[in-house]
Amino acid sequence: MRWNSAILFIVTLAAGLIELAGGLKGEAVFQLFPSDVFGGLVMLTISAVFLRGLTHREHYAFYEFGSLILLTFSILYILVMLANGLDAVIVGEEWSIVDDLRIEMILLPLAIPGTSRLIKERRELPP
Amino acid sequence: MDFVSELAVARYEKIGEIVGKCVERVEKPKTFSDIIDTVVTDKYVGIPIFLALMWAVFQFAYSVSAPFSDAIDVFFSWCGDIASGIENSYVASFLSDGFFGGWGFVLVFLPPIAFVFIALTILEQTGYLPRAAFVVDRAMTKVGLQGKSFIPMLLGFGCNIPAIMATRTMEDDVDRKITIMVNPLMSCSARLPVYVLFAGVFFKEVAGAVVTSMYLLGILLAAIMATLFRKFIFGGKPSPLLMELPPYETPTLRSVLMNAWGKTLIFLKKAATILFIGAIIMWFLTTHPWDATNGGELIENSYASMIGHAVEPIVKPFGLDWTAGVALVGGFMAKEIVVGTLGMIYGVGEEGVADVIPQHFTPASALALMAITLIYVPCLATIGILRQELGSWKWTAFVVAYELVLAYVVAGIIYGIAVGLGVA
Repeated sequence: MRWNSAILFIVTLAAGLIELAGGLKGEAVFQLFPSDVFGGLVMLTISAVFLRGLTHREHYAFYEFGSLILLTFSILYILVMLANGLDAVIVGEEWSIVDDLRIEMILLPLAIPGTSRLIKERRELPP
Repeated sequence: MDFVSELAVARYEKIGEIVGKCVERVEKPKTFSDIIDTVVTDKYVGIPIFLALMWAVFQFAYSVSAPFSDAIDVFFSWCGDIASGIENSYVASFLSDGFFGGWGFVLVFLPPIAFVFIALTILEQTGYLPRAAFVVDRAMTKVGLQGKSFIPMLLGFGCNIPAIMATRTMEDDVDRKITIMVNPLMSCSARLPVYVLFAGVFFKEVAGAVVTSMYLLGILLAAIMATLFRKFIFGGKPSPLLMELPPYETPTLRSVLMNAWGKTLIFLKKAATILFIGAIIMWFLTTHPWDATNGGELIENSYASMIGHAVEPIVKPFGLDWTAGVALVGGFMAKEIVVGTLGMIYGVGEEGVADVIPQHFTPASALALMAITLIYVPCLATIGILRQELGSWKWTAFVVAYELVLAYVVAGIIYGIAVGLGVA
């Protein structure tokens, strides 16, 4: 599980730094990494949760909750993408799904194992 | 360690000593809430997690709700277009710009407000909100507020109306009053178009920094005013945050939607009424006297223009003219109106304002206008909610008065510094 945390820490840290750099620069550094200061800070926060888990006695809690937040943001950005598409239809503007794709959506599958563990514990442990 | 913390430590040591003598401990089984709390109340990542979740609330409330707001806008614009075809020009103007324009203007606020409530209800029903209050309590206490103040303050960046209503979770009356009174200083999203327009035109290279500085100015002023209110008006200290952390629950869709709908309905009944009346008043002021304005086409002959000229001596020290006066009076109805009113006055529509404002503003006066827009009177709907939540016209009038004075002082300081630095 620590390996999972370590991998997720590196991936989310890289994504956060690239988004943050793009946000400060004013333009996206790479495709899928929007220039988004706050989005970058959110990814850095998620990476910090995984990092904290690497050294913590209850490391599994950080792995599972970090995965849950990553999943939450992945779903949120998918909702934002769908909303932008719907909005474009309503106001009659052009819209390309590629413009709204971002790295957090691609990372969604990586968040599933940790979140599944958390859901399992929700069922097995007292509230 | 301060006295209060030392007292708390001593108290807990004594409790531990007594409990140790008379209670036999058995190993408590690990609960699901223990696992989550290990992370969300962690001293290193607790606050960043809280801020990230609040950012998620923002994204959900304002990005995901956007198509619903636009659908409402498009629908009422369509109704307005049909109404504008009525032969009687007065009736056409009233129905198109007043009635349908007014309702459209009111109801576009509904989706983001409903989405804020949905997101907050989810956080509340999962049991996370009490943890959030616990995590930020220490920082908030330093400025005369308490942990539970943070969420209403943060929501203020979206819209002050649901933000002020969110103070209902606070039990202590004084804490709640102070939180409500400084909440309008949080820069709501309606003020953003003004910052974006003026910063984009006058401070191209550093526009982002100028816009951010307006948000930071709002936070700084709210912290200062909360400290002053606590010290000189209410006295005492923020109430200690005593609460039981409930176990985490999985909210049901039905309970979330019912709860959020109940809160949204309060907005519809109270604020929407005031907003709609405000929109009708704005229509009247910009189109009357009917003959003199040629049916609303010559706004410089309107009552709104007269008000703008009456306000001009007040705003002139900041390099602002009567057009800014009219826009600010319009902004009293709702901050969204400021840019649109300027477009109407200059006869270029909202899209063409950026091209003509350099003729009426300087960089220094633009900074002053941004600061005034941030600080001066809350919009009409917010005043309605202030009255409702403070339960007194006296306190509501006090909030309006202190914000007017503060806006004047801060705008004066900013304009003076900008001119002194040769920005004008």
